[in-house]
Amino acid sequence: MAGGTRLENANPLIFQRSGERLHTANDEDEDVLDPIDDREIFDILHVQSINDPEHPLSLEELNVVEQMRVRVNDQQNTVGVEFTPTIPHCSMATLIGLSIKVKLLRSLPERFKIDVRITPGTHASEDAVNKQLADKERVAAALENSQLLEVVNQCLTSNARTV
Amino acid sequence: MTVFLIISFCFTARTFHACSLPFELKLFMMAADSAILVGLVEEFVSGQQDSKAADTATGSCQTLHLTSSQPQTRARGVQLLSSVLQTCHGDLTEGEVVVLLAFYENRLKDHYVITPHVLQGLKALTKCSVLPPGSAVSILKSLFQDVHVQVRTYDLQSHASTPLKGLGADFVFGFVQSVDGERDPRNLLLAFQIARKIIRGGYDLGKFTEELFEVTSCYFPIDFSPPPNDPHGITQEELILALRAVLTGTPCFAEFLLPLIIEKLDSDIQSAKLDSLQTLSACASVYEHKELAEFLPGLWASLRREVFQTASEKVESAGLAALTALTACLSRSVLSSDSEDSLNVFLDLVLKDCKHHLCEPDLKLVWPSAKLLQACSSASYRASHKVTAAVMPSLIEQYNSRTQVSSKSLAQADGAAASQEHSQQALHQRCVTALAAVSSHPSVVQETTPVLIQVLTSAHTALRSVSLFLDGDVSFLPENAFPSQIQLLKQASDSWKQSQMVCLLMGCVCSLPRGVEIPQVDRLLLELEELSCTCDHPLSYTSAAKCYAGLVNKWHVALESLIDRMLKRISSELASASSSVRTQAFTLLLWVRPPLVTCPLSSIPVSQLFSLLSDPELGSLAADGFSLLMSDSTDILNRGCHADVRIMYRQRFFTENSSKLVQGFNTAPQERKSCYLKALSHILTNLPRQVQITELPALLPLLLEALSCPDQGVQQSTLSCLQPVLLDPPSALITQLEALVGRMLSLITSPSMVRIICAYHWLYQPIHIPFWPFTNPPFPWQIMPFRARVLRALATPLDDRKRMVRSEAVLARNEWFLLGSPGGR
Repeated sequence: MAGGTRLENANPLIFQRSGERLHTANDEDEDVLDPIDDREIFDILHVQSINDPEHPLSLEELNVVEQMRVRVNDQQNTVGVEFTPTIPHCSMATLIGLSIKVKLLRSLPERFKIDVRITPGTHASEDAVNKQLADKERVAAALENSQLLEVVNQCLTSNARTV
Repeated sequence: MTVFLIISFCFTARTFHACSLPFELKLFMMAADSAILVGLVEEFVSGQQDSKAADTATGSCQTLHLTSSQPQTRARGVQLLSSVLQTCHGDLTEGEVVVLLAFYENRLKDHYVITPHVLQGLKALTKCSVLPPGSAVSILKSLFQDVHVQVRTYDLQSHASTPLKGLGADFVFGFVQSVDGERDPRNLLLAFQIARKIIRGGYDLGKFTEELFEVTSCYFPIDFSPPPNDPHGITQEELILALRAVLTGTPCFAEFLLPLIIEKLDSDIQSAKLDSLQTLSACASVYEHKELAEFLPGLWASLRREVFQTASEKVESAGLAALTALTACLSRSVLSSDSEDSLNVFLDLVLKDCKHHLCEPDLKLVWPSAKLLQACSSASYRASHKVTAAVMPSLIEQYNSRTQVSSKSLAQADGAAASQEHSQQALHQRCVTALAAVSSHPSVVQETTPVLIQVLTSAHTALRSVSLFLDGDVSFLPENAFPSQIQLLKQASDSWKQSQMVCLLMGCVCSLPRGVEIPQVDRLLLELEELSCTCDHPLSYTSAAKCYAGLVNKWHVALESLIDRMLKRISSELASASSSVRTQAFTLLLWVRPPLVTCPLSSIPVSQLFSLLSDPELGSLAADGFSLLMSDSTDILNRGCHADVRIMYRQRFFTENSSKLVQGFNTAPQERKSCYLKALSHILTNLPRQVQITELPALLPLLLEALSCPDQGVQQSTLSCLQPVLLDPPSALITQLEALVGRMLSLITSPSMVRIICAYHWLYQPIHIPFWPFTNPPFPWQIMPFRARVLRALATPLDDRKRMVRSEAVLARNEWFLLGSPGGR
């Protein structure tokens, strides 16, 4: 973990995890098309929970990512995620945003255009961060940086479902 | 007015013999004696062959009598007419009947002296076969309107039931109206009797059910003291019983009667309480549990109060009797699978209130509680079973701590149990209680219980159940409604419901320990064989086969000839491709479980099974059958049921037969290969781990080929077979990686395959087939070369139609991204 000697947010507010998605009969019916919906994207982001770099808690528990702030449009191939850093001066914001973006890139079909941004009004330098995250070349370059990739992978390497 | 109309009608419509009339008329006027009158009438009628003339004559009589100012004369005239009608009603035409009806209905409005004769006439008229349909209605309407002293009316109605039923609710309404406000006990008695006939006679009460109930129940409870020197001799008892018969006559009244009973139980008058309790007992024998269900708490509260705070012994015993009747009614109920058991609910209520009193013998409530419990448990087996099970332990425990009082309560419970005959359990229970009463050491009870259990599961049960199934002997199940001739082991055309009872026999007989003798086992086996080979209903023939197998497994030594015969029969059935019962024969063969039976016959069925693998009709069944052969049966052939299970039979089977299997596979035609593969994978899956690991490398090429087999069942079973191997992969697998990965990828991309397997996965397996080799890839560095290919391949299912597939793909693909990546795995 790329941690400093001092934690920025030593005592964060913790939210409860929502339960697993319930299966319906339609889920098993082959003839029924299941559209990609908000909950599904949210599950991608939290089932293999993305960890917060500082705390041994997931982003959902810190309410960094909420289902309400996930918007997907299957027909128009767009996904929009707004995440809320725990404190307004969180320096990890870019990292968190990048982790979310990478997760989605790896998990969604190529047709989707992914937009990850900070929830308006919750961070001091949200414009700068948003600009970075929206820039495709910057993201690709970041991922070629092995150190950065390592950190991102560590966030994404988590308590996967046991086999 | 009508009178004159009739007269004119009579006069104008017909001619009459003028000469004979005057003489007759004079006679009539002089005849005040009714006997002579009747004789004259008969003569009159027999002398006339022509019915028209008879009618005319009587019509002319009327002219003289009806206009008389004396009601007695009029009465006699009507009496004459009625008598005539009684004899010649069969000869009348419809038109005449209509006329006479109109006349009579009008006569009802006349002086009351005439009424009885009018009624007689009406009675005669209603016997006419040509009675027009609406006339019954009109008769009754006028009866209800005009007749106030209704005594004999109802006799008439009881004779003319069929046309009255057609009136249905109108009739009931009329009846209700006429009974309303009646005070004369004779009338009431008759009214009750008629009401009872109405209820029993299947009249449609319609929306007047409540009214009918109201009008009769307002007299409840009856408080009648007959006047001295009453000529009719009607007693209160008669009235009470008659009213009770009405009130308890139909379940439709339940919703009104039960609240009424509860209300009357609250009254202070003893006779009212007694009456209510007795009525409750009576109605419980008629009603079903669904009528009683909502009132149970209220009834129980009242009954409990009556017994706990009893002022009189009569009331107490009536209360207990009512409780017994209630419990018996609830015990009789037939439950559907999702309804709650009202007997249990009720008994829980009772036990909740009474049980704790039994533990406080110093309070005087223990006696009423004990009596209540006794009343409940004497109602039926089910009730007694539940009550004694709940109560006995605490009683016995108490007995061991405090002798005196508990012994009395035990004795009472004993008395309750003793009130049932035939029941072995009750008998034993009595012995137990007797034992407990004489000894004071808890270990005695502990010792007797195992003995009891042994006895109960033994020959007795076996004997009973076998006789039930072979001979239809239902004597040991007395509280149920069986048809008198039940043939449980025969298959009649539509009675699969009966034949599937054989699974109960299976449960009974196959779990018995080996020392127990089964009576008539030869005959039983023959019947079972017959049923399993000929029946159409899958559950029935399978259960019969299982039962047969269970019996054969334990007692095969003595039954070799029978088994021999059975095997020959099966072989012939299976050999003839056109036989209609091949499936059934095959099922029987399968269940006889050759690997388990340690007799020399066992080799024949096995080779037959193998040969069946290439059979077009039974091939896949045979392949699935291998799974049955190798796995544990939960219901009959396991150690818990005292079956004879050879040790290591699976390994032995495998080693003896695997080469045969491989050979068969190699020589089989393409379309039959899948059956062999299926059989192989079934066998492998059920082998213990160690054996799998040693055997698998040799079979790996075969299994991999199975993966590319189009049959999905084969693919599934092969995958489940391979799963333990891949979790702990032997080094032999490394050489096969390329093939494995390639096969897996092709599986993923096949359209229906993926979805079905994912569905299968969710339902049955905790691992992600087919992505599991990807979510936890073995040999990380050895499969790195495949990474790029896999990542590309896994991109497609990310966009699959089904969410389950997508989520699996997401998991797998993310894993592969992390594979070999810095910070990843």
